[in-house]
Amino acid sequence: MSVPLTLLGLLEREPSHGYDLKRDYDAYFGRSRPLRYSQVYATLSRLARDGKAIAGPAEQGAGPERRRYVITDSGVADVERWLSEPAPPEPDLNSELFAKVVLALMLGRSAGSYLDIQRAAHLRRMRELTELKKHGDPLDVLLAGHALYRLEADLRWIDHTAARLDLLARVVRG
Amino acid sequence: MIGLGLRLAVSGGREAVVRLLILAAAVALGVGLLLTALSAINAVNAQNGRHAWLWTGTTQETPGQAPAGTDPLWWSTSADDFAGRLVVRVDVAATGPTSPVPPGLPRDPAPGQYYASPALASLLRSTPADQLADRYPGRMAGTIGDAALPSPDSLYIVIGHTPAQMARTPDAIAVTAIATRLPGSYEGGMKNPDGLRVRPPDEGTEASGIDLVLSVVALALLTPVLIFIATATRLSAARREQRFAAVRLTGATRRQISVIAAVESTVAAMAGVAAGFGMFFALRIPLAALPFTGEPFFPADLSLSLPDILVVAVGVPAAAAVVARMALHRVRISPLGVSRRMTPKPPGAWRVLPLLAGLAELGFFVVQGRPATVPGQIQAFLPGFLLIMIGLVTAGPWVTMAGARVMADRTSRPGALIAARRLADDPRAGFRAVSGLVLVLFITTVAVADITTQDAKDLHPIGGAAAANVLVDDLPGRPLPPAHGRTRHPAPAPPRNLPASLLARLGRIDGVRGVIAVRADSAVSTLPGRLLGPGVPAGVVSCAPLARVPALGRCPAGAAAVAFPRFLDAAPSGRSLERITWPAADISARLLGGLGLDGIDIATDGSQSAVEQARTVLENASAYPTLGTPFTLGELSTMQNSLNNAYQQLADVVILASLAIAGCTLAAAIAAGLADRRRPFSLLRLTGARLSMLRRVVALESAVPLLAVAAVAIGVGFGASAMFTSVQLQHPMVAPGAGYYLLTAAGIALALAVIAATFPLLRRITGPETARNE
Amino acid sequence: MSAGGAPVTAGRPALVAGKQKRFIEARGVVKSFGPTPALRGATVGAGQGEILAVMGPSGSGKSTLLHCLAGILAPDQGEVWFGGRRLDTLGDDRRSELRRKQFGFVFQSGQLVPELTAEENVAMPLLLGGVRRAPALAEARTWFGRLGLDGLERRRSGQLSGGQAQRVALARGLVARPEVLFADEPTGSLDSVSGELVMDLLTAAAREHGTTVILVTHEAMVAAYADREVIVRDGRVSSLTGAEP
Repeated sequence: MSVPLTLLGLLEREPSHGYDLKRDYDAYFGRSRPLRYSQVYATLSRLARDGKAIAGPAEQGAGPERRRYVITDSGVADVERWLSEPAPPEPDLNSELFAKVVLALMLGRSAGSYLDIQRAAHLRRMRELTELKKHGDPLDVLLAGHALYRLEADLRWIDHTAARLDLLARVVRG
Repeated sequence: MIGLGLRLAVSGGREAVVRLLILAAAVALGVGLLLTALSAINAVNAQNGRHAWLWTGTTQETPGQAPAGTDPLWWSTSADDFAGRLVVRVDVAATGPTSPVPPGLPRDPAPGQYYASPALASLLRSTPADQLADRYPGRMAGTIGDAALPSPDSLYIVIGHTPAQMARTPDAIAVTAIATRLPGSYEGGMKNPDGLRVRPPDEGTEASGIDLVLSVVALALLTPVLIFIATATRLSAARREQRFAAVRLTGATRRQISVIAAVESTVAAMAGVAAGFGMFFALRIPLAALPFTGEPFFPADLSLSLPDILVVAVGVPAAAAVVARMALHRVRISPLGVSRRMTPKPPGAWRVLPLLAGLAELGFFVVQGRPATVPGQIQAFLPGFLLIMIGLVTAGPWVTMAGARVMADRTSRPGALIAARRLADDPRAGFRAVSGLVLVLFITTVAVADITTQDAKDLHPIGGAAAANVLVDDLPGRPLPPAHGRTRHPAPAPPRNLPASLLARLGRIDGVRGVIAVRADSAVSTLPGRLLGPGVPAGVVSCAPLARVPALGRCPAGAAAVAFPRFLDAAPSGRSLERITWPAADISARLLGGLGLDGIDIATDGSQSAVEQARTVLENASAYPTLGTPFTLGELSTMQNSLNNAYQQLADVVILASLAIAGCTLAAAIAAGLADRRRPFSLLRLTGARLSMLRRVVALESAVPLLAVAAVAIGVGFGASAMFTSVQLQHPMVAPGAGYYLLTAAGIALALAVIAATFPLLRRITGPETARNE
Repeated sequence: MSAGGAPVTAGRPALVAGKQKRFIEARGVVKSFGPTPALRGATVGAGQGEILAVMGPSGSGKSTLLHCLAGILAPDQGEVWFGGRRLDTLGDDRRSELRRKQFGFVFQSGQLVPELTAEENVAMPLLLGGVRRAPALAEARTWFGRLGLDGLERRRSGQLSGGQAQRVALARGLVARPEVLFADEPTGSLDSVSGELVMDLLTAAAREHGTTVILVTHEAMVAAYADREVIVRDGRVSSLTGAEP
């Protein structure tokens, strides 16, 4: 999730203050993880330094937060390029999942029962998300659906791995 | 594609092989019967041809064909009877060494010799002489060869006389050549050189009549076989849809799939044809013994000409291929393995028209009256019946649909609902399964109604049942019916009296109950109309002998003589003579003895020995020359109906064969329907539907069209028979007895049995294993 | 465990108090087909009104377990209980009657009778139960609006899309107001959009009528519609959390 490019995209829509940008970002993209102000301003400064945006004159009031930022042509080009390119298809490696399995095998603990517990947690979460889809607004439904499919993919991987634990154990233990 | 089809055909596993075997077996049965019918046509023609020599002396043979200088042969034929069987008697006298020789003989029999057919020879050996052998003068010189005999059972005798003896015989003629061809039409017999119309005693059947009937029979046997092939092909496609879908996925087009399915059926049909040929040749000898024409064939007669063989060997598989292609015309096998049949258009109401046309055709002849000649009658009635049969098959789907729609809209029972919807969707398929059975029911109804009426007619033989055993012999001066001898001009004056020795000999026969002499009295010419109808010629009979024969009526008290029918066999059939009191004749017993003799009626007890001895005595009475054969009234009645008996045999064979094939068709159709709905039915069972509900579906899908159309078929059958019997048999139709209802019930029971036989299949394929999603 | 940007809040209706905890259950069921045992002592139970997902890979015996719970198959060993009474010892006819009157079924495909119209298919359980034609069809028709099938009443199954056909099947399963609905891979032949719709409707209708649902599936997305899931492995049933299945 590229924060600079997202902010740039919001700027292309209309020039904004940092405060407004954070509010908009939180509303659309940051539902569970709001952006910190410091991160917003740091990103904006970097964008200005790179020539993607221009900081307007400081308005009266306290400090740089009250500056209005405007996107430059270079920034527009960047956004357009970003929107027309696919996101790299490499899925996030759920590193914690992977690490737990490998470690359990190394240490001789039951990887199978860990995987079961993980499955249960995934399914519980999927149940919650499914319930949400019934009552949420359309954006929530989209997000929930995306999450559900990702969880399902994890579960498939868990099945795949559970069937190969013996093989993995031999490899891991050397 | 054909190669692929062949590989698929033989690699289908046990179930597929069983299916193809059944198909081949049905085809074999049909082909065997077809070949029998074709060979029977050939046999009839061959058999007929061997009657030709009996037409010797008729004007169709031009005497000029014999080489000049041939010695003429005296020739006379007559009919005799033994125990109800016709004996053909040929009296010949050769005038010289070059006289023509009848076929089957090494030479003309010398005076005092005779040649007899093998069947007659064995009868002569096994029967007391006074019942048979005494009629024929001389000793047996040998047997007649097969070339002269229509049938192995024929009773023929060729008796040698001196030319002088033959010259004295009124009907003898001199011929110089033996006839080798049959006349084209038998109308009225042929004229002999004396200008008399003659018909040989055993004239055979008119070829055109039998050919037509047997051709129809051949077609009638082929139709159920073709229907079965169509049904079995559908079954094959339904079961193979998975395999076909796989082939479709590899890129085969729909047309190619149809080719594959058709190849399967054709291969099975070819195997069936080969088996059918095998069956026919294996069974030729027993088949020859079946009396299609009333007499068995020589096995060699049942031959197949090369065109016959080619037509069947090539034509049946070709027809099978065509029928198989047509059967899949509407089955669309998509690559996904679901064979959805496009719902066909519903049958239109016009379909009842052929049926009505057939009935109208028969009705026309009821109004018009029957044609005079036998071939004319066949040409008149056969198309009517054919049209009715075609009409039943055409109207069937419409009747099925009409009934199914009513049922579908009203029923609350799920089993009936499913069955009715399926029938309403595709009534043609639903009816096709039972079409064979419906036709069999129609044929059975018609055949039984006709036979029952026939028997009823026979039950009222001439003169009544009690008079059946009266031997009737009429003397010169009276024309016999053309079928039983010959027509002649009036001949010498009748003798005055029965020789006493003759009377005595007759009286000594064990079983003769009375001898009645009928005399001609110019004062009594016809009987009063109230007795036997108008215009019956009358003679006079003395009351004393009549009193001993109550079966022939009685005298009023005190009468010495009564008026009596001159020719008993001219009495209309169905009128019993037993109850009649003849009107007294005004003549005394003394004067009676002076009147001329018209005929003798001998009352017997009906036993073979009494009848045959009496016949022998009469035939040998040289002082009492009879040129006609004495027959009992019972025999005369039966002879009039011999043709119908032959048709009855034919009908039996057709009915049984069609029943077998129709049963197979029904089974195959049910199996195909089950295969289509295997999954929904088994899932229904899982949800708690009882197996009995599914059984009801299967039963109703067949029973509804069967019963609906059967009712029509039976009703039409009776209607057609009523029209036919009133016109052709001149007798109102008689309701059939218990036997008919038993037969019909048996036919329907067979259908139900076939349906029930598929129930175990239903149980097996709707078991819970089908519900697994693997 | 983070799920990347998705909201946390969710609600799930708790089981209504007073309903039976183990309304339908199998205890130690063993079932073999020939030499291979499909179930080796399966124990599982669902409470009244609960939606239970039975998961597991293909061939694990899930369908066999469903068949045993529904009284379609009699187990070789073990017991099946329904509503406080034993089910497996009942005779074939009684079990058949039970399935007709108190259970509903939805299968993966192929359950609609091809000759009948959609409304006749839906009415089938009622007709099997002896209801007259007119009231049965009237009741069936009420389901068409509820499941978004308006106008399809007189269509044949061959004229329906997969999703429509499965919704008709769902209506058939629920039309007789069964106490338990057995669903065996109900969305197995459908694309994800149609499948979601079917599951939405299934769970909504079940909750509305308090129907217990036994849902056999190998897909997590489908199992997510249930209240609880169990896994069938090697012929035995276990809950992933170690709780009682």
